[in-house]
Amino acid sequence: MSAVGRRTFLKAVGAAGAAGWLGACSSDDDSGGGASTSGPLSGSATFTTWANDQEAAAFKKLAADFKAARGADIKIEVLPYDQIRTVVDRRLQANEAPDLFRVSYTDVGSYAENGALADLSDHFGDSFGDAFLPALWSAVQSDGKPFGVPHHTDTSALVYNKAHFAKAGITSVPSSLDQAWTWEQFTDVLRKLKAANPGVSPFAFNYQLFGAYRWFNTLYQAGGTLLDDALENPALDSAQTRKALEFTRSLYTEGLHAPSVLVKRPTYPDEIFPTQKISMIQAGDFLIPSLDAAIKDKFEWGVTYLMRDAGAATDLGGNAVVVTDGAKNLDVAAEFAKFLVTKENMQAFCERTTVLPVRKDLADAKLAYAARPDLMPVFQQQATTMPEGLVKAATSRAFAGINQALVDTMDQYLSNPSAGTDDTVRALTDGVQKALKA
Amino acid sequence: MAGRRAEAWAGVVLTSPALLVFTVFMFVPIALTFWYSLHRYSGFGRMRWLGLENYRTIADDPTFWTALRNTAVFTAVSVPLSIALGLGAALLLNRWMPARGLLRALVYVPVVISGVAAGVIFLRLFDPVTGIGNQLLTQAGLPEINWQGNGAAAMVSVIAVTTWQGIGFGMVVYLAGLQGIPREIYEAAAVDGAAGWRRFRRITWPLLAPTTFFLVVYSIITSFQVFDVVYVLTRGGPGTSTTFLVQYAYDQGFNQRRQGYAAAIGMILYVIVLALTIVQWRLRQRRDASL
Amino acid sequence: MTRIRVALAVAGVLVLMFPIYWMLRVSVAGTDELSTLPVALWPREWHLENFVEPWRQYPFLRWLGNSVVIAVVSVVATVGINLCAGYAFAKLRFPGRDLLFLLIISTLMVPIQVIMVPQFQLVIDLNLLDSLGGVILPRLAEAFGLFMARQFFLSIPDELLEAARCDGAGHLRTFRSVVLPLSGPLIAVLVIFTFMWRWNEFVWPLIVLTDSDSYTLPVGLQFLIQQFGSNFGPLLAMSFLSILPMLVVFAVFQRYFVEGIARTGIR
Repeated sequence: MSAVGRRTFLKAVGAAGAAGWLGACSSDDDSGGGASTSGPLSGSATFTTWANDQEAAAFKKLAADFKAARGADIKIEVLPYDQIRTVVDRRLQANEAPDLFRVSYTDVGSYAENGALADLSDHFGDSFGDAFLPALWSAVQSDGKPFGVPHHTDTSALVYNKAHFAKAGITSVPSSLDQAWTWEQFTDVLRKLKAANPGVSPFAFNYQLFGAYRWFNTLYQAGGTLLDDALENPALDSAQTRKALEFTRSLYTEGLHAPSVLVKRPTYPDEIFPTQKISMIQAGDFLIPSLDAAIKDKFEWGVTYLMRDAGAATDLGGNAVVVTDGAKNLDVAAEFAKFLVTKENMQAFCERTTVLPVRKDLADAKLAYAARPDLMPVFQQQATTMPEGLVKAATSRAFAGINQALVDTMDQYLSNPSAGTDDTVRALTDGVQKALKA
Repeated sequence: MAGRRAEAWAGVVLTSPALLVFTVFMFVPIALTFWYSLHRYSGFGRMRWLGLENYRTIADDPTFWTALRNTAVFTAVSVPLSIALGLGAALLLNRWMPARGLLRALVYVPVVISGVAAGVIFLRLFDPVTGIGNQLLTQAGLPEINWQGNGAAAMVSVIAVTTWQGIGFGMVVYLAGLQGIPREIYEAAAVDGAAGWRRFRRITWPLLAPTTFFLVVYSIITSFQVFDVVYVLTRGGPGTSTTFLVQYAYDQGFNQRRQGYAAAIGMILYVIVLALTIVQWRLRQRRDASL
Repeated sequence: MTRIRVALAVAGVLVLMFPIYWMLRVSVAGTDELSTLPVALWPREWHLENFVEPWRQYPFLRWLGNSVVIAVVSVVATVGINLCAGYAFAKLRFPGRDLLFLLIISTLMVPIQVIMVPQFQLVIDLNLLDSLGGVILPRLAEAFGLFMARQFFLSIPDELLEAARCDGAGHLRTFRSVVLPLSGPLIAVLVIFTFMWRWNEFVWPLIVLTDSDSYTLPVGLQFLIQQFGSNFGPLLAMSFLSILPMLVVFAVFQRYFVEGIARTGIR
């Protein structure tokens, strides 16, 4: 817990004092983030998003509520996650972009930089941003101008199969952050799982494609850092990076990690976990509803804290909603964006889709999560271990390129026991350097 | 003289639709691709002039060279393989046998399947955990293969799918070629006592040379353009082990928003394929001349 | 001897057909059945609803319709263009003929991914984004079909054409009344190839069609891969349905196929 504890995250998101994200006092001040305008609107706007069933339903409900409250139609368009970026890009090129779209925090910067997004300063007013956790509010800004709203955040923890654990004689799992497994203990658990469950992979990481950055959990657990303090240069050339790389690969070479689950292919461990071919996965909280639906009564499953080494660490995920520069109905689009993040609506969305809110006045609230509410506290606790440096890097405009460097580099290392760790560190450093300069 | 003019006029009329579509949708885009390759362009936003910078970057881009090598390996293996198997199938199914028509049609079926559907089918075969491929291997007492985690295995899986889809085409073209060999030549050979392998070596193979030439050229062109199967099956991974030049260009242009760079890769690819075709054509001409 | 050939041929065909069989077998499977190893070679349960259920959730019928319209319009237009141009390049003398033909043939070597960026911009400028026209028009420039058509017409004896012309027929009428009636096998080959290419095309429609209602089958299938995740039964069922029309077209025209190819001189 030393290097990257709760405090650093609190500092990173900038929440005031000891209250912080999870303990922030509720704000009754309606001027920040509230629906400051409420007059009737006309016309319609298109909102393009990817969504699982729960998210799609939640967005549709919000669109219906918006129609009832304000009179404007919102067309919700759902695209596959893997393709949404390409499709939105194509439409931007053709000046046929949707009015709003959902985007990860890491991608806002590059859209804004290319002039694709609308400056919403006039629609939001000065104090609008005060309602949100500062790190995420800054993630939707570029050059001091807001281009959208932070919608939610999510993070990873360990999801495990209770039956497989019982078979391996593992009767208890860490029940608090302080008791989280060390890497040694974790590896030990995996070895036991492997011995007790033949034909089953003990573990898999969730660092596929756009989620490649989740490998940084391991890096920061080892005490490594991605960038220097100024966020200008890679800081990967360290013993900690080597240790993190070697630890990750050792899981593959020892047969403790599902061999087909790598970085570049869309083979997602959460799709395999319900088939009981993997005993434990690192997984995001937003997957709880779909896991719950896929597993049903087939087996019991639970959640525990991520392993730690020099310290604990988890990733900052989550998404924003932005308004495009070419929006045909800018007023409706901006108002809908604001509508999405009112206190009630953000709460409803988070509860339904098991993600974490990004409003200060919800940080303290007890949310009634729709699926497996028993599991969410672990994620909420785990979220306090997001390292400050990682949060800053993840909301910088270079992060998409940094993520790509991982996608291009990691598989060769992980799937090849004789690939050199130094070469990989060098390749990662080069890739990150390129992304920072681009 | 009037006849000449009428003929030229008819030629212009009949070719004008083709010329129109080729000009608008091929020649102009090719020229524009070159123009883009001299710029930095994200697809939206402004274009920035770079001169030959993209080409210089390519020279130092290790992924480009990996993709080029992968493309070469893939072509060198899959083209001969599908042509040889296609020839085998044609020889087998050329003469009468029961249900010959049905068998021919079945061999051809994989050809008509879309790359996406083929990718989906083979995803199920090559799934390392629940795939039937590894299940059959295990049942036969062989070790499982990590089709998607191991670079070489992933390349094998891509080659397997493209060969599976390529055999039928080779067969049909060779069948057509075999039809063109006059019966009398074989009869004359039979008098000379040539049969089996000798007859194939001495008569069939040389007479099929133009067919083979066509197939080689055609297959090389298509194998440099293979995309759909890879897109569905491996995404070019693990790492970059099944990333071919077209994947790389597509990825750079549409995922990384480096359309200028993608265009530069495309121009290089175009030059390579063009050069390969010219070389083969020259070789053929020289051989024809020496016959 | 014939027996060995038959045995070899049947064995080979069985190997080639196994992936198809497996597609059909998986297409009737439930999720649980596929995740319980080993998977039985013959289905234990028949989840025929896999073939029906996705139709309710996804606009499969629209995708099918889009694919049919694109393929049919493309086939008619492409075959028409290639017949005319192929004949002209083979049999008529006009200025710039050989150079033009070479230029056209050299486009065979252009991977479409390479010129997609400017082609796409063009489609936008012509206001064809997300329309079937945007998919069809750029693909009418089909050099391979044109090449085959020219080869075919080269094999028609000049005497035949001259005879028609002596009867006073003009070039265009000769083409229509003498050449076209002879072109059956060529047309069969062009129809099969063009239909196959357009039906199976993936990247271009993926880029041009941005609305899920205007997808074609391969693009829709890619969409389903992500939506179904590990639920392979319906995915493979839809894969099979997507290739079925192509199989029908092939079955209808395949009688002319070998002969057509033989006569187009691509051997």
